[in-house]
Order: sequence, then structure tokens, then C-alpha cells
Amino acid sequence: MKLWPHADPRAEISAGLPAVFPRIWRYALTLTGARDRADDLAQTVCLRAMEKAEQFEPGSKLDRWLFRITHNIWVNELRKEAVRRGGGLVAVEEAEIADPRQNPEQDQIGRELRQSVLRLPETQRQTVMLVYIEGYSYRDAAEILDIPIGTVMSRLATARATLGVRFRDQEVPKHAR
Amino acid sequence: MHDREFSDAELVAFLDGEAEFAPVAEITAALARDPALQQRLDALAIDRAALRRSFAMVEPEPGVMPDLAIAPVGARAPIWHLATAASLALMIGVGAGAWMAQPEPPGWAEYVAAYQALYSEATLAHVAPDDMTQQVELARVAAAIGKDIALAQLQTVPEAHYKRAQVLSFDGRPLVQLAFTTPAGTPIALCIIRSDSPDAPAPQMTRMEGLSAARWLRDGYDYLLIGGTDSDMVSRMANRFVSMNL
Repeated sequence: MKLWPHADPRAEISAGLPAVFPRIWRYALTLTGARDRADDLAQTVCLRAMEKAEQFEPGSKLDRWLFRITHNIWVNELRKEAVRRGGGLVAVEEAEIADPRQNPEQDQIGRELRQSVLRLPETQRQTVMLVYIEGYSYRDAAEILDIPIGTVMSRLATARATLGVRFRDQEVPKHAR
Repeated sequence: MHDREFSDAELVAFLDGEAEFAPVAEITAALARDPALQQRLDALAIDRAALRRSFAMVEPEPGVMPDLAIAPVGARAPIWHLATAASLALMIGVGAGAWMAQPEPPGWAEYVAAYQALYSEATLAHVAPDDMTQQVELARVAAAIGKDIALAQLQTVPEAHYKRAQVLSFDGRPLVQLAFTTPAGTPIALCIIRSDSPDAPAPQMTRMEGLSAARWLRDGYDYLLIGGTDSDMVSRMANRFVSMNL
């Protein structure tokens, strides 16, 4: 049963999308590995969200719903194409996603941190992005990725072991949490 | 008492504060006795705040988000109004099979027809550029298929008012869409794509997606004029374009 049966899902999506869009785009960037393909994927997410607006329950978490759409479009529609072109499953290079407006020398540590995440295998990269960058709980991440919570946990454990080594190599100050 | 071996996943859940999925009390108690456990935790540590900051620096260019304001609220189908040329290119190019749910991609004209069928009176109502803007836009768009199109040619058509030009994409090939509206507000599009097919300069009338359409081939280009249901008018317009050798 809907909490607000009279609320208009399209209006709520239109109102909420601009705030979530940069996050969706960033996630798309780490999936596709190129700015132009991230543009395409994030734009497709907006279109799909409006198309499927009736499936959105007003009052529920719009960002989580949009991340789930992003993930589904990537996995079901675009990833095969990306793999065929030789991309997608391979590690993403920071140089490919660098913001052309920014001076690379100003953001040295940031670039190294991003690179350490981008070099993770795709499934670990997705999970790290959702939990550590976007701040989703294990439960939310499992729902977005449509996998068991145990899989979220094992992906994060493997990713953390890799990231921990890289962080130490790069002497980035680290804290437990 | 000997502490049981905690898995990396349990330790990571502990570090992440996911108490529901980590034996928090057991790990806390074991930490007081077992220095090796602290070392394992250290090996799994990452700086989440620094990671978050590093990704916060990465942002989309302004204008990447489609304009939701022009989406007709309450209508279901015409979400294509939101499509920028870029995302349309993606849908037609990359996602064609999945998006349209058709096993075999049909020809470009069928795609154009499906796209045009979603245009309504409101689609082009807000488009009212000046001559200079149209001139620049048309030159840029026409160059995509290596063709010269004069604005004056498009503006002399009595049946409909010229609105705008866009580069779309079919199967990786550039496709030009010139949009018109009739005095009644009906959207009509002239779409042009490069073609290797032999000339067939007489417009063939047909009906696609419930719309009147005319198609002809000339000098290495494939033309489709489509929109509305007034076949006589579409035929007249098509013959006009043919006679001006557009």
C-alpha cells in the first residue's frame, strides 16, 4: 500500500532528480570508464525514470531507486556492448575520467585514491562505490545490486584488502573508519 | 579461552559499523587480548572520508542532465521529449535492441518514424530561434552529413514553418533531422542520411507509425519526410524539396 496514494510520482522524481544526478553520473562514470559514456548512461537513467514513474512509490528513497535503475541499465543493456568493444570489465584508468577543467597537479592525492578504486574488478568497484563513496548500508547496496548481503560483505572484504595495501604504498593517512 | 578465527568479511563489517552483520562484542573482547587481531584490522583499514572527498571532485559538465522541465507531467509515453541529441543517439545506436525490444534492428526510416510518432504539438511549441541562430545551427548540422542546406530553402516552404535542426545518429551514422510545424501545430520532420543506394528521386508515399510519410533517394542521400496524417500535404512538401534539389 502506498503511503501517499495521491502524490504524483513524476512530480516527485522531477523535483528530486537534479540533486541525485551528479551522484548517478559519478557512478555511471565508474561503470563505463569514460565521461561521454557516463553522460549517455546518466541521461538514459533520467529518461527511464520518467518512463517508469508509476513504479516509483512517492515518499520512498528516490536516490536508491535511481541507482538501481542505473545498475540495471548497465548490466542488462550497455555492459554487453561495452565488453564487445573491449571495455567495461577491464580496470578504468583515471586519465580517461579526469575532469578536463581541473589541473591534475592540484589533486594528486585525490587522483591516486580514485585510481585505487577504479582499478578494482568491476563487481568490487560497484560495491565500494555504493557503500564507501555513496554511503549506502550493506542492506541498501545488496538491494541496488540485487545480490545477497553476504556477497556485498565478501566483495568489500576483498576490496579492502587490496585498497589497504595501495593506501599504505601511497602513504595516504588512514583511519579505521 | 581461545578466540575463534574471524573472517575478513566479519572484520570489515565491524569496521563499517554494520553491527547486524558483525560479531561486535566478540571482536571487541578479542581485541583486548589479541594484538594480531588489531594488525588484521589495520590491514583492512581505509580512509573512507578521503575516498569520498576524492570522488566528490569528479562532476558532470553543466548541461548534461536532460531538461525535465519540458517533460509533459502526467503523460506516459512522450518521455522522448526529454531526449537530447546525445541520449537519443545512445538509444538508437547502442541500446536499440533492448530499448525498442525488437530482435532485428529495422532500417533507419522505421526508427525515425517511431521517434516522430512521439512528437506532439507541445514538442516544438517553445522553439522560436532567430534567423542567425538557425543559420549557425543549420550549417553545423548539415556539415555532419557533408551537405549544404540553405536556411532560405527551408523557410520558403508554405505548408510548414521551419523550427530547428538536430544531428541524431543511426547505427553510428549521422542523421540530420529538420523539424517543421504546420500552422495547426502538427510536427513534421525531414530526415536525411547518407546512402549508397541508387537514386529514386520521385517521393514514394507511405504510412509509418500512423503518420504520413514520403521517401526518396537522390545524389547519395536518403530522405524521409514524415508527420501528421495529411498525406496530400506531405506529398506536396516532399515534391517541393525535390524540386528545389535540397
